Amino acid sequence: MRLMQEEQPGWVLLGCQAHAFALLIKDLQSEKTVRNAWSKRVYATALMMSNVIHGAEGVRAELRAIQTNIYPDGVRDVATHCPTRFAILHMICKDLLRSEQALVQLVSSRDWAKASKDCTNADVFVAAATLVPARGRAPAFRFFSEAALLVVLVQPIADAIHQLEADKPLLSQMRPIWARLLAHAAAFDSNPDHAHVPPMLPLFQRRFEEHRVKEWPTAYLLDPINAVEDDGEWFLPWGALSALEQAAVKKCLLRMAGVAQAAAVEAEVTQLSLSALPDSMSAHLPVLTKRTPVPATATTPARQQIAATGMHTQGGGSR
Amino acid sequence: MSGIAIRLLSFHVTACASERNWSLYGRVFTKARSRLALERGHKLVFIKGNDKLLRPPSELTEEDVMLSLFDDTAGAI
Repeated sequence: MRLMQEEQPGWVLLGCQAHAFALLIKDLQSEKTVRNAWSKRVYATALMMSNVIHGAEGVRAELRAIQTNIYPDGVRDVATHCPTRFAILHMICKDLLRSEQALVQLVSSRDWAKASKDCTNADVFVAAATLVPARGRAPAFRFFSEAALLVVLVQPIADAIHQLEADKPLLSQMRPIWARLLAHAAAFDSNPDHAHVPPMLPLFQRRFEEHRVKEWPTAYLLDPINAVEDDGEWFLPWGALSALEQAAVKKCLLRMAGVAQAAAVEAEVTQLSLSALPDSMSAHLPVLTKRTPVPATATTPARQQIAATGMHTQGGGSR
Repeated sequence: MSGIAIRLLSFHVTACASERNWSLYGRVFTKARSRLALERGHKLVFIKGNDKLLRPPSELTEEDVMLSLFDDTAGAI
């Protein structure tokens, strides 16, 4: 593909970014090089619990009966594992957290032995729903506490997938989306309450470097929604780009312009980096750049939020 | 430079829409319909895709669906 791009300078090589985010979640499930046995264990436990619930009708019926008794909104479904659905493990974790109280009651009920008699993982399910005791050097493991932490980490990734499929599908929006995700990972690592969890930022950065497209800064710069106002005049957001990105933008523009148009484009870039945008463009920018802030949900403790509201948000679409 | 801007801002960064589309093609061009002509197949995919978009989302809960099934069964008996 790179050889073809050399022959056709106007081509842009793109991968699917929704799959990139899905791979980031998959890294948390099956990473080998980074020490994240924590997230791997949480996702493995969530998958096992979902399989037990959906694999035995007795267990599912008992869980539904308990849910109907204790929750005002009645039955709360637990997602089934579907390998081709984006962020499905995250959705399973959220569903299990919503039903935490019911699951704990389920394994301690008198009917549990009868309901789970056909399950091979019944003992592991009981341990996961209550507490896995410390063994040797391995500390005790409580699934629901760890799953709540993982949901906090992964929710912005699932939201990003959802945004890409809905209201933010453009090339110019990838740079800010990734910047927010990297900032979220850095904030997660620096939180003293997460000290027992290995650092997650390297994992995010590695995925970012692997899927970064060199045209992102150019698209970001040229998108009118990113224009900035200064003293009544509108400018391209050069200040938001690093020196390296600015150089990459100029290189990309010259490459895409081709030999014939290179001189004209270079003159235009120089003019727009030094002066304001022309009035014909500026007239539309106040409307294009106006944004109504939406309250963020990712920073609120997911467990309390889910348990209190019984809310189940869409985590991502299907592949 | 406007031409470059239009090009760069026209790209979709995900393959989700196309994946949904070829998933639909996969459900129309089945083994049982191996003699389905291409043109008719295109029309069927078009109808299926738009029919799904135009249909209002179901507001039935899982319990409502189960109850309706029981009602149907009782009626049949």
